[in-house]
Amino acid sequence: MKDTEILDLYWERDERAISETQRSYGNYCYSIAFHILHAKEDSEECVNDTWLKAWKAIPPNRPNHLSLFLGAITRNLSFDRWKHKNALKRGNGEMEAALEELEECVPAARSTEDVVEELELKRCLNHFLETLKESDRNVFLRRYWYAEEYSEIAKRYDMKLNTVKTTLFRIRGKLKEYLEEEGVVL
Amino acid sequence: MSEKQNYKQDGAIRLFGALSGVDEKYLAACENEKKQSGVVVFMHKYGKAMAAVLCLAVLGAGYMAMQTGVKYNDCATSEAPQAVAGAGAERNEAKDMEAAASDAPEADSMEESVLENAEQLQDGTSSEHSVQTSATVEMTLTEARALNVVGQYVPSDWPVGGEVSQVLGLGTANAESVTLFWTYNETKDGFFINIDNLGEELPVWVTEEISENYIVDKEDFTKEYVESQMKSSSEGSEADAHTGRFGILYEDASGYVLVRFNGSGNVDEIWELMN
Repeated sequence: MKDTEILDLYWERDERAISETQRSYGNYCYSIAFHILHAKEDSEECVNDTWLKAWKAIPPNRPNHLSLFLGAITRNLSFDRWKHKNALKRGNGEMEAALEELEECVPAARSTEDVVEELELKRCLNHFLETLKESDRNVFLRRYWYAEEYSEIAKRYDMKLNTVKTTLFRIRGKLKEYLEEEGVVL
Repeated sequence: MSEKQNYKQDGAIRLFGALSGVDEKYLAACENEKKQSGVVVFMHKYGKAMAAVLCLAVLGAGYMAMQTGVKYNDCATSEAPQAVAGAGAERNEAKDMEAAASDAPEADSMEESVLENAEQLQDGTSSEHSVQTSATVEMTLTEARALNVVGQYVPSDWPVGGEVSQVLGLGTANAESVTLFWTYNETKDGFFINIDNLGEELPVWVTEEISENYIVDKEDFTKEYVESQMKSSSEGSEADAHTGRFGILYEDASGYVLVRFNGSGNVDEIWELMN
């Protein structure tokens, strides 16, 4: 079923919307959740919560890209669950590795400067992404939006593993520099 | 966990969270790239190789024509082979690499590298490697260092256990280039370093190589990058021998200068040499 047809079901408050969404995007959302949580049960719960949230959000929303809309919900739910479960506890998994790498981008603390609001940070990140080449941007998002493993990214884009690592290393350096220039304090 | 570490981790978590606000267009592009058609993927993977084969054929035809009919103003007849060294050097580079590729364990990727490099050379011929307009001369290292612009990029800390076996300079009115061949005494393996004065505008092939990470800006040139570009050589050779290629792009008052490495060596030594 096409996205527009699924969206019509949501707007008609037809419960088949959920089963059709599950059919079309179940694997996609599960993949996003699992990359963050690395736990089958938690991932499945997040995916189910995604359908519920989507049901509540559509209408009034009518997303242009249903997959991205659902993916973003899943990512947020999974990330919230990850934070709740881990509460800074160290463990295995790509989330820890991805976060450790992102630590490199955090500018040095600067006394009592104002904390940048989340919207401003998002604006900065979008602006930074705009400056990247598309291929670099995709690799960055695959790692830090989808929390994919290096090897998955290498396979996806037909790159050498080391090239993926080097590319991300370079981008993290640029991001740190950019955030410092923008005066972002995290 | 230290306060500093907590701060860093909190920051990373905030960053990860803030990335949920990424513009949909970037995510859409990210998704779409995955969905390239088979033809697009094929052309992306093999298009360059196909183009390179065509270019080599054209280059070869031109070379043959030169050998048979064209006179060189700068050289006496006996020096004719040297006079075409500009073309020959390029062809030799490709030949050297082809030979290396056929011996290497990762022959496929090396072959790809050869073809890509050959393509670079071919693309570059429109200005700095032009068979018709350039005159290549063999020179000493000291003479190479004295060359305008490119001379200052000639490395000084060469690895031990070998020697600079040949230096070829290529000059035209607008651009110049020098290629230094280095050979290990024992194995006769080696590498070459090609230094090109690109002028003020980057050729298309250079931008493509940058996007493929075969060339990086000077500020992005790190030992980690060298390691990522150098693959372990075939079994039986020295444990620390690696083969690969990469380039460093410099920008100065006169424009862009590209320094490329291609061949085998010890990563630490190559890093020292190119840094």
